[in-house]
Amino acid sequence: MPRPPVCESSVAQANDLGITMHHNHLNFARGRNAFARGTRFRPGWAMHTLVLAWGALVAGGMGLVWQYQHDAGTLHAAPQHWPADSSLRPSPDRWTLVLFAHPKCPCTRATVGELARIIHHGGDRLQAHVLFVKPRSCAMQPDWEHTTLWDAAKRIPGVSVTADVGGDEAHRFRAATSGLVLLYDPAGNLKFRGGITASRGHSGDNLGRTTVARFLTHGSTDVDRTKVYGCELGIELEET
Amino acid sequence: MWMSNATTVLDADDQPRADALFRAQQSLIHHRTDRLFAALMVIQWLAGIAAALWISPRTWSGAISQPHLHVWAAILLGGAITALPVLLAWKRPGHGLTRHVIAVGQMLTSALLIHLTGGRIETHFHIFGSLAFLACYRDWRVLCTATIVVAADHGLRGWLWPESVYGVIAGAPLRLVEHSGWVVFEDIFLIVTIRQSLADMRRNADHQAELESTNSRIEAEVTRRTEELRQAMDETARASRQLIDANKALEEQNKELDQFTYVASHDLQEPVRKLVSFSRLLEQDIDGDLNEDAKRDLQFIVDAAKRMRTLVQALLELSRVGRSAMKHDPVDLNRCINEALEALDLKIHETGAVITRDEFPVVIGDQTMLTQLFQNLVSNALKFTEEATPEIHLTATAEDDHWTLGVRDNGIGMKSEYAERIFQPFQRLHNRGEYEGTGIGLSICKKTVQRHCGEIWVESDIGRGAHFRFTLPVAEIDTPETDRDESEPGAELELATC
Repeated sequence: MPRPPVCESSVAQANDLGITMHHNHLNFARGRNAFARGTRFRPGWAMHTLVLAWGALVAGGMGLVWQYQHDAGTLHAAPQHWPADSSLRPSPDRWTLVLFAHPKCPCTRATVGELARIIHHGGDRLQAHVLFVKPRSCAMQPDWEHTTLWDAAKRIPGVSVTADVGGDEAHRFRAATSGLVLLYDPAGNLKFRGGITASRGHSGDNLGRTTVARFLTHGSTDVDRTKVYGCELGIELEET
Repeated sequence: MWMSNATTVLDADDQPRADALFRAQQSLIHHRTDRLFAALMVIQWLAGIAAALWISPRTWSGAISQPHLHVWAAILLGGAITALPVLLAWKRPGHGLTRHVIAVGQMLTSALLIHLTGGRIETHFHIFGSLAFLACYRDWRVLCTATIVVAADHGLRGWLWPESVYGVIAGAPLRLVEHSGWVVFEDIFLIVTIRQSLADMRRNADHQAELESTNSRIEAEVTRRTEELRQAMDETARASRQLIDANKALEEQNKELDQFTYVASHDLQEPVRKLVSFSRLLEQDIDGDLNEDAKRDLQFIVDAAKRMRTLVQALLELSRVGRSAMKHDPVDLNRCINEALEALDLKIHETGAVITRDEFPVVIGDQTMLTQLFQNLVSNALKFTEEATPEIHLTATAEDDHWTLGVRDNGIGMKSEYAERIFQPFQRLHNRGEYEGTGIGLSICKKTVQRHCGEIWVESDIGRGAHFRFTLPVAEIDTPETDRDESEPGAELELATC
């Protein structure tokens, strides 16, 4: 690596060349020289060490972010048959999809978007319910669950949006993570459980959405579960 | 080098200068782009924080929440990504390492922003926009660094989490090639553009160097010619000063000569007058006592003394014309001519001359001198005739800024080569026996005209008469705004003088 040019020499060089350097340019050049004197840069290794340290730092930071992005939530075993005590009624002639969501989970916005795509392509073969789980401690706050996410779900045609106050339905369907999708066939048998995003809050093509769409069009696939990404719903469930 | 296809053919002497100009221009671009990116990255950092606070401010577990990791990532990781590029752009602008660190930081910022916005497809355009911005460096290597970062990010994440990057689990390598292909696609066009831009810069540098070289040559030539001109002007000034000095010397000499002429002619008058008088007395005293030879010799002495007196008087007159104080009054030349003809009335009657005249103007001058001028010229015309009756016409012609006046006769005329000579003192074309006179009359005429800022010359040929002509300036009359009675005696005329 060649030695970087020294401030005065570059300024003098520019002057010799008859080029008018911008005032800020000169200030930058002076500042650079002062910096070089103050820190006594030895460009051979000091600068490279700094750059490598910076690279390691940002690479580590990106790694943490990536790790968090792909950190899946808990996926419990859902009822293989539609729970008889559920307040929701499955459709006898269509597939029934249930989405459990935390109304304030930012990651679930991507899930709602993916659900809209599923409805757009196979809404006539599907009955969809979106349950926004409202913790019992927030039951006294009337609009706690009415968030922009709620509104986004309401805008999807044919989708039933309800609040699951206290998480009773989530408990019945063993849903612990926002973004969990359960797909039951017209006979009430569970065919799919998991998330319909590729990672936390990440829109785009993903295995979960593809699987649901394939069930609706072909009736079966090789996949019956995917990872689910989202906030915890606050439901205490035994590990299964 | 990329820019080696410059079309301008430079002299070997200009090439180093062109190279230096090119490098300086590149350095300027690098400095400027570093500063732009420093500002841009700070803005992007703040925008990332705002996006995190807007999109995913908190993460939840039931009713409990805490700040979302995205917020901390935007603040801390975004700050870390931004810090070194901004620091280098501030402290080491224009350096190659700075550009590459900025390229890495910019592409990592793209990755972070895509992550913070939930992988929105629109945010992916930040990558392509950043590549275009990086092309401002006009350094294709920077694009390579940025592309490597993009490919590494995609490749590593695609290898670890293919679904989140490509949306599918199977066929991820092909999607990596597809995604990278679009980046390379843009790179190709940007690199071509960079190459063309560098070629333009190279050409501009060559032209600048050539222009400077030409200017230097022109300046040297101008300096040389200016020096030559200065020397010529100095020489001219020196010659002018010498001429002025010579003129002064000549004027002094003329004055001394006039003074001498005046003094000599004046002082000679008295002895000549005595010589004539005593010659006559001697002639009377010895009348009858001398033989014929002695009488003839004495008569020669008397005649010579008379002629000497005449010459001295003429010389004194010439000297007076040149030295005497001259008036500058409005002079009606018709009056001058009348007085001149009255003075010559006897001679006119003797010769039976026919004199005609034009209408003459009013000029500025000395009436006595102008009268004498016309008298001399008419007298000259009356004198140089043969048997024919003199026919004399006094001419007056108005020109642009002067009058051309003259006296034309039908006399014997002269050869044109004598036209200058006759105005010199005591220059005669004939013997004294043929035509009387001292040979000083026309010299007096010339002196008179010169003192009136005019010129005099003669147009003549043998046997065809002569036309003595001279010029006098036009007397400019300033007409008053109010009408004035022209016959009013007190009417004032403002007349120009030479």
